[in-house]
Amino acid sequence: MEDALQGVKVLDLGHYIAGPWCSRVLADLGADVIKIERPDGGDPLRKYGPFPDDIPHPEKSGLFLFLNMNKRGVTLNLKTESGKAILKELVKWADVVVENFAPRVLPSLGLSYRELSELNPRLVMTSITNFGQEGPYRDYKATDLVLYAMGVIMHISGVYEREPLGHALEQAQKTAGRTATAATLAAIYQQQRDGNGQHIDHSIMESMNFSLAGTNNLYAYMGAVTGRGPKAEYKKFFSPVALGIPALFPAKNGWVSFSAPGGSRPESLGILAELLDMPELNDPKYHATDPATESKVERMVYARTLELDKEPLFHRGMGRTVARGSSPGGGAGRRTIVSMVQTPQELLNNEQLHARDYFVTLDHPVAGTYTYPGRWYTMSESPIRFQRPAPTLGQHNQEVYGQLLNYSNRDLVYLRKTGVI
Amino acid sequence: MPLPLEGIRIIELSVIIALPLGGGLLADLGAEVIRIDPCSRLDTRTGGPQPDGRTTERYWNTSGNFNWMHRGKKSLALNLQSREGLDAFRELVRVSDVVCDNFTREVMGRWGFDYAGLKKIKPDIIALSNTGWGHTGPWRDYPGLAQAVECLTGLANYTGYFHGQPSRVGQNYFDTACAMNIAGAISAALIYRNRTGKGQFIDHSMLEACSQNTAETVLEYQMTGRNGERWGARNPAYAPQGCYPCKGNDRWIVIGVTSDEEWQSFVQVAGNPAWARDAKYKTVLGRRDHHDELDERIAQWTRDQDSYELMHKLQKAGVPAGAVLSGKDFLLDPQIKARGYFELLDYPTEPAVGVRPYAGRPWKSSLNDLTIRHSAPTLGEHNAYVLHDLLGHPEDEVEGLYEKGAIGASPVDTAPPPRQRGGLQQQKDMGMITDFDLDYKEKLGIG
Repeated sequence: MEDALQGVKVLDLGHYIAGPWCSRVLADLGADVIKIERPDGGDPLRKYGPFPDDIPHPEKSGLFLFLNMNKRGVTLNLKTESGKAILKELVKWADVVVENFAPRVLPSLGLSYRELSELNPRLVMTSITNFGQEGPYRDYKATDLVLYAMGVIMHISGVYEREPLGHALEQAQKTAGRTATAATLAAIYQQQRDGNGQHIDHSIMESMNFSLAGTNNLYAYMGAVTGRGPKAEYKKFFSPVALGIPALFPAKNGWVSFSAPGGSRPESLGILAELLDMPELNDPKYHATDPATESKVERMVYARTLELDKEPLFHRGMGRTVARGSSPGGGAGRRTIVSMVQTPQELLNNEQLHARDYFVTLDHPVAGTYTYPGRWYTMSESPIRFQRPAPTLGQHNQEVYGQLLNYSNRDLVYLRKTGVI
Repeated sequence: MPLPLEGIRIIELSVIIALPLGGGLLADLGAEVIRIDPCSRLDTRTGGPQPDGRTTERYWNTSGNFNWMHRGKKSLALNLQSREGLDAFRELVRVSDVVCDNFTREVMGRWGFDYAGLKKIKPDIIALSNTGWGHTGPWRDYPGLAQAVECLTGLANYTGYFHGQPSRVGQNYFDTACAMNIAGAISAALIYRNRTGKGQFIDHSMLEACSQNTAETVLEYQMTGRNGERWGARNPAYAPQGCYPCKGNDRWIVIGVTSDEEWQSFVQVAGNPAWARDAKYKTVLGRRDHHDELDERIAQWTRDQDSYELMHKLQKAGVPAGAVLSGKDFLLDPQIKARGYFELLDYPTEPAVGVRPYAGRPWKSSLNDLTIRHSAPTLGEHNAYVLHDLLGHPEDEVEGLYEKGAIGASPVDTAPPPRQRGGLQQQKDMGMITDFDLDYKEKLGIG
């Protein structure tokens, strides 16, 4: 079996999350990815964690280990002339460079796309930055939350009465990694077909905005500005999924959610009555949607869900929809989709993911054995494979500089002493 | 210069967002994307927003969200419940490269168009099926939805106000994540086919694609035994950080101080007030330990300032800060304008829609002039193109297909028009929207 990206050679100049995310997908698809790290400490994500027992160690950062599986790793100091010369040799070897430095960094080192593409005209170079390579905010700094704010997604998240809310867990970086991957794969296809290189200039602020389905269109079509509404007093207890946060209900051991069927009020309550064994909800007196009735129904349902475990409720709701059959064309229609909030432990033990062999367990020479989320999708002919854990700092210096670029062991000792690698 | 996916023909059978938006990106990249557009199930064609908030006569062609996601595609309004419809679909598969769907697992197979069936029609076909949970395993028949996935990955467990309940974030975050994943997967399969001549089946599970986004939590669990705690607006790595109120209706700023140097710069921008010079705030641990009181101080200082001006002031001093932009702010933002992220697109067949700005894509290419190729198709707009031009059926035969109900150009069942949500002022009073501009077209330059 061949990998999808067999023979594709990638230099990962990425650090932290967005760039390494993109190059990891390429590595998983079978590309030969060489991760380049600075000799003094390497990728800053090595400091980020989580760490075993909360004891920081550069080879044991969980997120680093996850984002750099399937790659080889070398050290290289791009601030030295010798380091730049070696990088240029590698660029001649490579098909793709992925980087997420601030826009001014590579040009200041003489390593801009223009300069690198002169060495290798077929080069695909993907640059991921907070705001893009140009424009008035180009040199502005960002945290994940700043990108949430400027991509608009924050403005519509949370509740009307409080401040806007962002997602946890560095989602802006991850979203950007995913979008940049889509752009890079199309560019690789084009490179293989036509022999052309290109520079992909990816903006995280824009990819955050692209993660919003409707807010831009609401203003562009009717001049309305989406917020975090409605106000609490207008919140429909069993509201259809549209804007804002649909209700999460406390179960005995966690939280569940119901995505509404979009039917009439009696239908919606009828479904809840069935799922929760609460025939009393079918009483027409609850069909009214005034605030008093809403809050009465809410209290009744909360009291009931608190008595129930989330898993049986989840399976009961999903099973009910399956039993009723879906019309060709699927979709939410009048179906109810129940969900449950899983803890990390539950996610790791999820029966569906295990039945599909989703997780991958890798032994790392320093960090030890851990289980990671695995493939991005299942490809029947070119399945994604996990062949090596994340590299230790400079692990493949000899392999890459010796075998690929023909440096002697003595050269490498010298380069090491002088801080180049 | 041919676009990346020029010459590739993709058949898309899609609902809701994940696949539609992924297909829209593939169309931007040059693929010919033909949407099988059922007349009996209009899906997001019945959604909003409608032009000026008024439901038009042919509302199925005038939904802003539909027209954004389905940009650059062709519409074949084919009835797959009819024999002629199934025949036409088979013929189309024969001249196509990719078939993708996001129905529940069994739907394509019911028509004989699961991967095994498609492969018989076209041996090197690439088929992608996007479902909530994948084609195998005990949950394979469960319906999926991005909101459900957001809960199951555990992302909702970490998101939310401090001391509050778990939360999802607005709109359909994981649908768009899957759109990107799908677009990438199809390119990867094309690369493979280009080299080997082989097609394949891609089983795309939203839960699997999105459980990547919470990977560190399952590692944290294995490494420390911690099993999930809410972040609120705070990343556990630095302090202070948060979302602070500014002058005006629903105006906010996010500030994130990631080092001691940035804290010193922040103090300078704040005018070096006495409270900020307190020694307990000098170190990152001190700031973390006194985060709540620091938040109150910062909020008092930001409250009377303009969010945009304050962002520029802080950024110029090297402190990460961002105004919380609304949809309107973003459409008018100087950075976004400078990059040409929004593209003005005319919808010539529906004058009520006319020219509107649509979000392009979050990257630019030095090689390709990537644009939205053309406006979204009206229902059945390309019936004749596909059946006559592409598949060679005589024109009178195509006309006959309308009579047999195998194709159409308008809804067959009386699909309900989009729900009206009251006037704009009423929506604002209820908090459904933050604000509205009657002169929005002038502001957007499309008046």
